[in-house]
Order: sequence, then structure tokens, then C-alpha cells
Amino acid sequence: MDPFDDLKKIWQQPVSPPDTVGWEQLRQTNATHSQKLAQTQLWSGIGLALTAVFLATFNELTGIRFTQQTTYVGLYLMALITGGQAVVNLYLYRRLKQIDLAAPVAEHLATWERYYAFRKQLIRINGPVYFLLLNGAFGLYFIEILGRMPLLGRTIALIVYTGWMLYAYFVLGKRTLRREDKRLTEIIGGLRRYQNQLSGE
Amino acid sequence: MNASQSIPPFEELYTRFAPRILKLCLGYTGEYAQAQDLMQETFIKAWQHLPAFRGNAEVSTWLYRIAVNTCLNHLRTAKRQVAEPLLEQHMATLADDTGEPDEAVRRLYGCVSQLPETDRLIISLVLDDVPYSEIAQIVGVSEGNLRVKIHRIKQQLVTLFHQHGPL
Repeated sequence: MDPFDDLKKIWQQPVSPPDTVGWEQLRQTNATHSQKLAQTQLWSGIGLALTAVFLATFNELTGIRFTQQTTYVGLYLMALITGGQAVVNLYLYRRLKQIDLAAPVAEHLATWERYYAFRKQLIRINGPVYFLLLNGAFGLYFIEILGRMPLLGRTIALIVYTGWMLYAYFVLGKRTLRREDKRLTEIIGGLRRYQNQLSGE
Repeated sequence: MNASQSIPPFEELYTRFAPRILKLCLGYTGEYAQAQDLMQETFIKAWQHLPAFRGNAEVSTWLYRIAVNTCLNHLRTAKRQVAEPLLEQHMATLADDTGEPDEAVRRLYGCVSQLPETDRLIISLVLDDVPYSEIAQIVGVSEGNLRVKIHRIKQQLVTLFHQHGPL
């Protein structure tokens, strides 16, 4: 008998999937890399879309009336910018969800590489542009709002605002991007190694 | 082929393929806890992507491809943990009427997990009697190339297995 057939016999001993795994449990189990990447984009998109709606309807919701046009322009620009960013996030979510998990590895790898290249380009352009535009819009909004405050209050508000924006961009934002990059490079690295093993003989 | 005619209900897919997918994942990781996670992830993804399955491949090929991609996308930084109680649980699910000692099964999974990643996946499919044409489609190589690889991996696995002594 072929010694490999002995191994096959051992391997093919019947095995049952764990009884405890029901469908509801399966649906709730841990998310994978790609799911985590997609979920991050989905929740960011939803959060930003809700913010945009809130900003656009701020006057109607609160009944507050401003005296300067720049305040309204700033407010609507903020709504537009966050809304635009929500569209970007939801587009990324859609792209991630469209990745065909059942594609052959070479095709699967190519899809991830295309996504990664696109994402890197987007981060390079989209990140700074979003940050600058949003702060520009805030600047317009602050002309009237901060103008009503005494000098000390204005200074404190500006310091807090600037500090938070810098922290959000350079610490929180960069950290999130690093995490995302790590996930993407791990996925691509694994698939590349696999591809090399297949073509290396 | 009409997809609606070719796809069995999901619960049936799970019952039919979960044990095979579990073995594939176990061959890949060599650890039961991780293999179980990967199997579950495979079926979650399959469940989510079932509407996109157009029936242009065998449902088994489709599922195996998802499993292979899931294994390869697996979080490599995750702590590799030997979950002995779970492994024992797995051993308990093996029917004992074949007369094979648990030690042999354990040793076989251990030997498979020592092979390079691609070889692990290929040999797990071979051990499960998946046709070569289907394996070629799953891993994305030509059948001729695959046969050469399989011949080599089989020899390597037999050698590794017997290095640990007779059964």
C-alpha cells in the first residue's frame, strides 16, 4: 500500500464541526482584517454623513440666527466638506465589500494591490485637503462666534481648537492610518508570499 | 449553469463542507482554536457573499477558495496559542471505529503544519480527495504544475511523518 494512502486514511477520519457553532454565533464572531477595514470606513462614513446633516440643519434645529454671512458660509461649507468626506468613506467601504473573496489568489492579490495603491494616493491628497478645507470653513464660522467673546475667551478657545485639531490630525489620524496600513500590508504580504511560493518552482 | 439550481441551502453547505474546511484550516494553522476561527470566518464570508455566487464554479471550489484566501489573510500577528483543551475536543469528535490512534492524527496535523504555506493548503486538499483539476482552480496553478508539486509534497509529508517513528 502506498504510504501516502495510510496518511489519507488517518486524515479522512470523520470529523464533525463543533456543535456549539450556530448561525447566530457565526454571524457574531470576530471580524477579519478586511471586515475591520470595511467597518472602519462604514462607521466613519455614517458618522460624517450625520454630522453633515446636523450642520446643514443647524439653524432650523436650534433656531439660532447669525448676523454675518460668513458664519452661514462657514457652516454650510463644513456641512459640504464633511458630507463629501462621508461619500469618500462610503465609496471605500463599497470597494472593500466588492473584493471577491472567492477569486483565485493571483486575482485576489491584484485587487488588494489596486485598492492599496488607490488608498495611498487618496491619503496623500484627501487627508491634507480635507484638513485644510475644514479648518478654512471653521475659520469663517469663527469670525462672528469668536468676535463676540472677550480677548481672553477668544485666545483660550483658539488654543483649545488648534490643539485639538493638531492632535486629531497628527496623533489620532496618523495612528488610524498606521493601523489601516498595517492591515493592508499584512493581507498583501501574505498573498504575495503565497504567490511567490507557487511560482517559485 | 443556473446558480439557483446549483446552490444548496446554506445550512446544508455548512453540514457538508464544515468538517472539510475545518481540516484544511487545521492543516494550515496546526492549531485547533485558530482553525476553528478560520473555518467560522470562511462560512461567515460565504454566507455574506452567497448572493454573488453565480454558479460558474463548483460550490466546493468556491468555498475552498474563500477558505484559502481567509487562511492567507489570517492575522499573522495573532498570538499563536496551543489550545490543548480544544485540541482534545477535536480529537473527541473523531470517530474511533477506524482504529487509528489519536496520536497519529495529532502527528499528521503537526507534520502538515511544518510544510510551507502553499504546500499545506495543497496537501490538505489532496488528503481530502479533492480532484486535481479542482485543486488547480482553487490555488490558481496549472494542473501539470500542480501534479509535480503534489508528487514532491507527498514524499515530503511521508518522510516527515515517518521521521517521528512507526505508528
